[in-house]
Amino acid sequence: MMRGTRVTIIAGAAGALSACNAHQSTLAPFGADAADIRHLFLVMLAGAVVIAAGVALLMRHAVRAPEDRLTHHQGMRLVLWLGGVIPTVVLLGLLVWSLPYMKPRPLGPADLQIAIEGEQFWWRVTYRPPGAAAVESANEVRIPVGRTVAFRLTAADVVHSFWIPGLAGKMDMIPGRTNTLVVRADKAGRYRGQCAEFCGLSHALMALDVVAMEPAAFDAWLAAERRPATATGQGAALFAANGCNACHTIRRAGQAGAIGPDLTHFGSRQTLAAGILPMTTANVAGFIRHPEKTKPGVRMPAFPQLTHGEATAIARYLQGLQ
Amino acid sequence: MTIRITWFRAIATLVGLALAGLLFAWSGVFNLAASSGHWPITDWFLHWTMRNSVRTHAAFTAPDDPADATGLVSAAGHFANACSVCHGAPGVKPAPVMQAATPPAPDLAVNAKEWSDKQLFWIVQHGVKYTGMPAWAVQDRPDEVRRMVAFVRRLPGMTPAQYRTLVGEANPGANLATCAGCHGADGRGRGAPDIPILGGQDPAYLLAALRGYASGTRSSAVMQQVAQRMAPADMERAARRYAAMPGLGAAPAGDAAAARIVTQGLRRLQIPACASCHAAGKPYPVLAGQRPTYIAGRLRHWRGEETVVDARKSHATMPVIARRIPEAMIDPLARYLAGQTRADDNHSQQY
Repeated sequence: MMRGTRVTIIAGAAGALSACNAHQSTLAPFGADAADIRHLFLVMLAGAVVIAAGVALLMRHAVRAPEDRLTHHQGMRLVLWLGGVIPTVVLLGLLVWSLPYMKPRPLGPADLQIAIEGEQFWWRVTYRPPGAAAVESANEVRIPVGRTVAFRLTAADVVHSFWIPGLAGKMDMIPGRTNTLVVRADKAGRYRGQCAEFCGLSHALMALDVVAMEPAAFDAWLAAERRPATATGQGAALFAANGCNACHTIRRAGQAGAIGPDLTHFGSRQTLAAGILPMTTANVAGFIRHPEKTKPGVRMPAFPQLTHGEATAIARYLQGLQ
Repeated sequence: MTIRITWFRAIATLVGLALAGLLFAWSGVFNLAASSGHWPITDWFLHWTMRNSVRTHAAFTAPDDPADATGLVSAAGHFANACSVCHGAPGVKPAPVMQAATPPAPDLAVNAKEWSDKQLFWIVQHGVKYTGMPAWAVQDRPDEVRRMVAFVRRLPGMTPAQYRTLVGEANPGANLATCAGCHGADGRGRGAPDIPILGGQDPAYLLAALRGYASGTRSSAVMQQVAQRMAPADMERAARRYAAMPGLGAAPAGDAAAARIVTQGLRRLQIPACASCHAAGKPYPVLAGQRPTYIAGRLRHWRGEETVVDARKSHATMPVIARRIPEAMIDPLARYLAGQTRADDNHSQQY
């Protein structure tokens, strides 16, 4: 009785784990490929439990059975069937059943392509809709629900790995090479991805906001994203005076730095510093003055020469870029 | 009679001696008076210990290029400002105050001969405990220490006239009331490679620099010594006076690769364009027409030691950017900004 209760509690707790983290979990899929992966995992888990239980029962039986219960010949037949024939058939069956899962999702010329470049320690995101000009963004990727999307994955400096656990499996980003990951989201919502290959001091602080949107909402969003954002105020002048535009683009005449993340619609993003800090004015101002305190080894230099008020003004300006 | 040594007795003796020592220290009987000097044997033991310490630490931690004789003007100015009061200088007697100390500050015209350059570097950088010799006021300016080592090396045999010429003041014993001793009456730094041209600089930038030196956010023992003792009104006056002089502003010219870095940056190496901050109307210093040795020296200082990983170096704006500039481009870049061309300036193929 006690044992039964314990098993129920453990099984319940394991089930609850997926609910803890619905926005970054391979057990809480929002895409077709992640659903396949979870399906494979659950089938394998169930089979493994059955086999492990069978082996345990056989061992219990073998320990309790009197000596000479089986003849040598019977014993050898048991080994042949349980150790040779059945595992071969089961593994072959699993292989044949799972092979179709490896087939890449078909990609048509009309499908949206999103180029994502991994850099220490952020993501350069370029939307390439068919028949239209590219749209630059960073550290947030939005995809339409129900449509096939191809990620073209590259790396600028070292090897990174692109992993949105709720959407699909992980794929390496390798300098000098383009890997393609084709996915389809099935459920709208806000999710999270993560670099899955050690890439430097702040590897663990290289995350990605993922937003799956209804197709119509996505099209409207992409059209808005394509337009330059404008905001004015003291922060705009400080942004230019301190040379921020040497590295960061805010799409507007004369601001074309491409070393760091594109900030055109910075204010509409949910997080700061590649999925690490909530988007608050204090966080943005603090990051501008001392990015290395949030992300050790970050490529952006610190600007301790800015006063707290100046950094806050720039932060307000950036947050105004919706 | 014999006394048997047991564990208990040995430990009790040690504890008793320690307690006796504490009792002696507590009583205040020990005479710390500097006026009484040391016994000869104490003096010998303390100096012997100090020499051994300097020898060993200098051998392992002092750099292999401990002296830099190219910038004696700023070293002489700092020596006049901060060191000569205790040590004296050619033609300048040390203040009697420090001669009444135990130990008295040595006459470097004699004493400097006893040390190697590496040992002098270690002493100037770190100071010596229990002697009154202070450490260099900032620990991250080995370039300043190198210049001071070269200056101290030249003290034996330096005539008062030579010293006065280096310091640039008629009365080097007095506080440097003006900045002209090092920076020159014309703000051009008296030709010294490590002293920037101040004429034509943005007055707000000069004022911010002085305040930074005084508060320690800008690191320099030489400038801190001066800036900390300037009144706010003096700082403003000095900044305005030097900014109004002619000097900076020459048009950059020369190497095409350097020009590209200055105007466009170098995306492949993540170097932003210099001109995105160093331009008219921006709160950063004017570089056009600056002394090339000064620009190159600052860039190399920010790059720091090759053997130290970047994560342990400063993350401030210029150190991060300077570390991305290829070493081969530093001198062409400095000359380009200075507006000086040279025949061998052609790195365009490489970068």
